[in-house]
Amino acid sequence: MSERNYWQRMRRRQMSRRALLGASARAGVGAAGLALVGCGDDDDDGQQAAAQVQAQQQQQQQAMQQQQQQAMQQQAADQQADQADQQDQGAAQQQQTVSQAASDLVVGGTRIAPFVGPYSGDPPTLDPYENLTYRAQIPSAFHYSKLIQAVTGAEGVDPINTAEYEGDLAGLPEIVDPTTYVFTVREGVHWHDVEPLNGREMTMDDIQQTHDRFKEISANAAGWDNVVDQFTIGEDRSVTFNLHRPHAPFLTLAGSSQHMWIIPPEIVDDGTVAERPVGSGPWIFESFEPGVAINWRHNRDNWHRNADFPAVSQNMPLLDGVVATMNGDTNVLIPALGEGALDYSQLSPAIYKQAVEAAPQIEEDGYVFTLNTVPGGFYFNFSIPPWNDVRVRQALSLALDRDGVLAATDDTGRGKWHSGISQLPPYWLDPKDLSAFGETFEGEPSGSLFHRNIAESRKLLDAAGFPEGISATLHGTADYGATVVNFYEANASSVAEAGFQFEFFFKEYAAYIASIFRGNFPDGWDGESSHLAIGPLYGGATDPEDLFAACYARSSGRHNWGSAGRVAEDSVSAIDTGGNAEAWSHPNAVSGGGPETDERLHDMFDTQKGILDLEERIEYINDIQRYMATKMYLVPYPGAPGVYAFNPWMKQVDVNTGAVISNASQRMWPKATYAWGGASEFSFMLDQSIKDDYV
Amino acid sequence: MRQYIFRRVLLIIPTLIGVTIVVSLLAQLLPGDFIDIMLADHVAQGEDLEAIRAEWEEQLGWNDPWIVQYGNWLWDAVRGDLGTSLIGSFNTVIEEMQSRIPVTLELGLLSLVVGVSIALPVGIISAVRQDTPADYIFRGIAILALSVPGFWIAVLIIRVIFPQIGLPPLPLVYQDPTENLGENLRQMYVPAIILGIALAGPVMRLTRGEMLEVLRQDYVRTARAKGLQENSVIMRHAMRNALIPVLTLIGLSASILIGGSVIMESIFTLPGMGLRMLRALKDRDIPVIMGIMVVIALVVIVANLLIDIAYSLVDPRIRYN
Repeated sequence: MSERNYWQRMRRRQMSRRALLGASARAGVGAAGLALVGCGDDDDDGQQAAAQVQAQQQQQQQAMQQQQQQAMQQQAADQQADQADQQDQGAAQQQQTVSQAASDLVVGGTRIAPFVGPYSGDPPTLDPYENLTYRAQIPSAFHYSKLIQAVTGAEGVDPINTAEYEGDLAGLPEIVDPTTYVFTVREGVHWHDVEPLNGREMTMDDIQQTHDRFKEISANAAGWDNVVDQFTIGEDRSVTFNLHRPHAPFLTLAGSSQHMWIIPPEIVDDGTVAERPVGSGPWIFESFEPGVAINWRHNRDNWHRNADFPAVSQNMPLLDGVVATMNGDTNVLIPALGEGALDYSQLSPAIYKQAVEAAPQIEEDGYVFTLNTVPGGFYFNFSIPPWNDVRVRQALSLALDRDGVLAATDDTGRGKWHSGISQLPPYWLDPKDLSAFGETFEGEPSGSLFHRNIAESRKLLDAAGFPEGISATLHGTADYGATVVNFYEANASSVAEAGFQFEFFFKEYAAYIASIFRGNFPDGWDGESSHLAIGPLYGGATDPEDLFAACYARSSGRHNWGSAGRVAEDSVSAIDTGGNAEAWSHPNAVSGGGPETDERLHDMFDTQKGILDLEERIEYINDIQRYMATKMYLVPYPGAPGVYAFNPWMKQVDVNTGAVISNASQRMWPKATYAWGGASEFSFMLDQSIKDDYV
Repeated sequence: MRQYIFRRVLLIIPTLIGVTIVVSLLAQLLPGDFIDIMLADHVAQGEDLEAIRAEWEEQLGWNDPWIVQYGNWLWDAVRGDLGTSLIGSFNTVIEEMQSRIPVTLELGLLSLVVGVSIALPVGIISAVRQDTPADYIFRGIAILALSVPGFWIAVLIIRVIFPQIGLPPLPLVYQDPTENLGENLRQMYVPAIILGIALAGPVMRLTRGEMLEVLRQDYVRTARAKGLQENSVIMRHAMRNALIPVLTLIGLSASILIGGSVIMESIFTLPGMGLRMLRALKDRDIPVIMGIMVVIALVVIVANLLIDIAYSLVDPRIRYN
């Protein structure tokens, strides 16, 4: 029995009975799924190393469980004690059912689901190194493999899981010392049996060439280089990573979807990597028709095997194919879900009630709600007054009615407040809970700034020289969909009472990304009206370090204050202040007032990376959130949960893994799996007979 | 006649060049480009975005003046190379068109059949029974068809009508008619009806108006006075004359149908030119935009040429010299 099962047993013991049963209900025959899928394929070389990793990860799991249980509180609260007794019996029956199911399984069927629910859209390329968008990364999880991957089990009771990894092409690493990780690549892995690979065996040179290409072209290579000093392929099928210094989230980095998908050199050489990928994963790419669908067929020669269930797993994935449709129109998705044309779909929280009405066959336990880990809010170019003044940003945060916005836009009623790192577990500190967050941090207003206080907001505006309020153009893009636009409008409306008068200016996505997203606003400050923006900053974070490095690091090309926002202190006086020199002369306004010159912030970012003790790191990152709140470089809006609806024939859905927790549209792709239905995002079993009866 | 057709065919060339010049110039004015999209998620620590952009622009030839870029495109196009999609599928534009034109063409033809099948008989009946309840009802329906947007009807059908009457869901995955005609038609019939209704509205009104005018002509009165049966008067004498302007409208509707296909193909996930055009516009995939515009322009020009030729068949008095 692999070490992974040890983790799972540990976790299971730690989980409250109530949460366990609540999740069991969602997962159907979850318990036996644990045994079936959870045994995994790791032939784990270096169990000692795995134990070290697990020790770290176990801490993380516990912390994650606590937060996840909080997040699921509402759901769990619905589970009454009498139901619990029934569930006990049900769980026992389910275990038996799955044991029987293993012998009754029928190979075949096709899973049809939208690519990313209402956020579906064409991948700009199928080369994951060429573009980091989730649309380019998610398909990779179907047909490529990595050295390790985030765990996907079918137990249905796992809490969030972004830090639990298992072997993929390699086993879990041996951690020789805090800066040396040694992976051992398994033998007998074959590329898909299609042109031009024709099923040839994967070699260590393939991995070396992948690494070289990743370093050469991936936009993530620079961040990788900041962590990894040396990458060495050994003769004993070992891959050694030597780090510059201890890096707490290294496994997250190594298992991330944004690094090191192993790609055969042949398709790079012949130029088809962007359009016709060939990998070693559980699914073989068949076709991509822009605007329509991506199609995969099973890879029954798949080397992923479940040692405990060889008879079943030799046919994994059991489905014949997977179709990811590109139509994200909710007017299509909802009826299609209700009519059974889709097996499941991600939904937006604003259409949850519509889905409940349109799909009565999906009972309450067919819906899954996840935390939102996409940070976003009002963001600024700090060279443009008055946003260079911290008091104005604080006033904006105080004016924002976060609960009101959620009430207006979140049908699920499960939305939470983002801190500066969104709701990324287990590091997220809920600003709504002032007893944990604290009203102040080192004497400065901190958590209190999240709680609406119009009088205090006006007082701060007055002190900053804007007693009549502030007029500004609020930039964004409407391309995230109508529900997101409604959400933006709710945010903008809620701050009007304090004197913030915003006029929207939406651009098409490409134009928005080219300009506003990088902080390049059309005009600066004309003395009367200013500019700011609203929107998400980053998708796909699995660790706070992802956000810090991408959104705030000075060296990042992605932060949102843009080149125009990089204001040297001595050049401030040269900026046209539009007659409002007073705004600039305030001590808070020097150096653009942004994170570029905030030494404390960057010191904190640097320090947290090296803290290897999880609890200690969580505490430190909590302090970072408190400090970020005092500065409000980003004024976070609230975050509605991710919502997933599963039709009743989707069984053993692994609803609680890290694939789903948080925003799964971002998180799902690390979950390349080999399990029952084997998708990138969930493991599941599709009961065709129920589907046929229904449809 | 042959000379006329020859001249019209020759005229296609400058017309197409004009269209491509306009489209190419407009594409220059679009804010943002495909490099922005690619760089949007490509940016990360330490990346020199301007250097990447410069390199890509150099590779794409975007550093050349517009006239040079256009000239290069035109020269390639003359040799049958409309370029390659910059993003997504990376197919050549010709490949894209080969798979997409039949879908849009099928949808357009089905819509045309639906539209004409509704519009002509209803327009004629409405004219023959002028100011009767049937006429009022048909005219009201025609106004509705003119004024209600197709996308609204589509949503109504999908969200309300289908669930209410329990019809099976429309397929979300396109089926080639050569592989499964039944499934293909099951996916096509709703958008075809919606587009057909949109087309039927103006055609029906025009048919009615023209029929009313023709029915008052002396030669119709003469035909009736000669004792011809009413059906014969209407079908052989009145309708053929009334159809000439209707044919013009149907010819012009080629562009309406293609325009409507953008919306219908998006809603019903039909892999036609309209859906591809929408994606290409969002992605600033200029070669695909240019390619599709060439095809659309060609379809409209040819449709109008065919209608002009059809005039002479419908009305023997018309002779092209």
